[in-house]
Amino acid sequence: MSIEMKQRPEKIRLNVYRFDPEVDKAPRIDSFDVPWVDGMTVLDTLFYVLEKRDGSLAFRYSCREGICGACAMYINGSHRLACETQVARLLDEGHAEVRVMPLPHLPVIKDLVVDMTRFWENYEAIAPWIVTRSADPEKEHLQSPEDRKLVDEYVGCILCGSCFSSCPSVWTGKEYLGPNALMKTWRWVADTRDSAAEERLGLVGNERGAWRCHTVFNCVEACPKDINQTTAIQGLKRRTVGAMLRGSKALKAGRKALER
Amino acid sequence: MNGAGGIWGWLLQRVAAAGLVVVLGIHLYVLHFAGEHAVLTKAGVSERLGEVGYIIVDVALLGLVLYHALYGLRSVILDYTTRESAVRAWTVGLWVVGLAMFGLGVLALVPFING
Repeated sequence: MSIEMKQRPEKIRLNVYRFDPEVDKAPRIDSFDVPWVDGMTVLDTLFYVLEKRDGSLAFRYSCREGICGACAMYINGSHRLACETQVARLLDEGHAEVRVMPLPHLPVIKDLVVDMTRFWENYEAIAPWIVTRSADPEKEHLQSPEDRKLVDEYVGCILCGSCFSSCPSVWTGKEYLGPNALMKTWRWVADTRDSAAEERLGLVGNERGAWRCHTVFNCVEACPKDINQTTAIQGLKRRTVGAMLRGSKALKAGRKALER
Repeated sequence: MNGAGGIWGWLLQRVAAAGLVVVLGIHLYVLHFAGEHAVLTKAGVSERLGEVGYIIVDVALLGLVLYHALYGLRSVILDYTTRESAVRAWTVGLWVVGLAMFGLGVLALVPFING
C-alpha cells in the first residue's frame, strides 16, 4: 500500500517513553517537536532527538533497513520496526502524533531499551542449528527449492522479539518458551536437511512449550515480517502427538542429543 | 528443560471437544426439536431419561464437559506456575473435583434409570 502524499505539517510531535530505573522513580513521556522531512521514519525522529535535543535518549538500532530486528518498539499502539515505520504512514492511519514506547511486558533497561535476556535464553534452549546424522558434505547441505519453501516464512524471522512481547502466555508464564523459540523449532523440524526432528519435538512438546500456546494469535498480529507463529506451533503439536502415537523414543532424548 | 510431557492430556482435550460436538448436537436436537421431547414436562423428561441411549448421551456429555472444562482450567492455572509440586497438586485437585461432580451428576440420573 503506497503512502498518500497529502499536505504534511512543518513539525511532528514525538512522544517518547523515558525511564532510567537507576535514577527515575517512575516512567514519564517526553514530547519533542521534530521538523518534517519527506520519507522520515520513526527511527529518524529518534535520531533527531538524540542528536539535537537530548543525547541521553536510549534506543537500539543497527541495520536501519528492517533486517536486524534491533529497533522493534511499540509505536502508536502496535509492534513495529522504527526503521521501517514511516511517519507519513502513521499520519495516514489517522494518528496526529507519534508515540514511541518500549516493547511491552519486558523489563526496561533504559528508555526504549528492554532486557531481552529471557528471549535469547529461550532461543538458545531450542538448539537453533542444523543437526545431521550423515557425514558432512564436501561443500554445503543442499536443499531443493520445494523443500526450502517449507521453511521460507520462518527463515524470514529477524528475532526482533515483537511476538514474544505480545504473547499473554509469556507475560504470565515465566518459564514458557514463547512464540519465537517455538516457531524457530518448527523451522528446524520442517527443514528436510535436519535429522533431529523428533528430538526437537521432545524439547518443546511439554507444559513449558507448545502446550502453553492458547492460539491467541497476538504474535501473528505483532510480527513485522508477517510470520504466522501460531500455525508453526500447531504444527509442533500435531507432529508431537504423531511421534508419541508411533512410540518415538527420540521424544525423550533431551537437549544433549542436539548439541553440536 | 523437561522432555516431552502432557501430550495425552492435551490430546484427550481435543478428543473430548470432538466428542462434545457430537453429543451436544444430539442433546440439543432431542431437547428442542425431537417431537414430544421438545416440550419440557416432568413426564417427558422421565420418559426421555428412561431410554438407555439417552442416559448414555447424558453421561457422556457430563464426562466430556467436565474433562474439557477442567483441563482448560488447569491450562490457565499452568500459565501462572509450572512448578512441579504445584502442577501435581492442581492436577490431583482438579481430578478429585471432576470425579466428584461426575459422581453427583450420575447420582442425579439414578432415580430415572431405576424408573
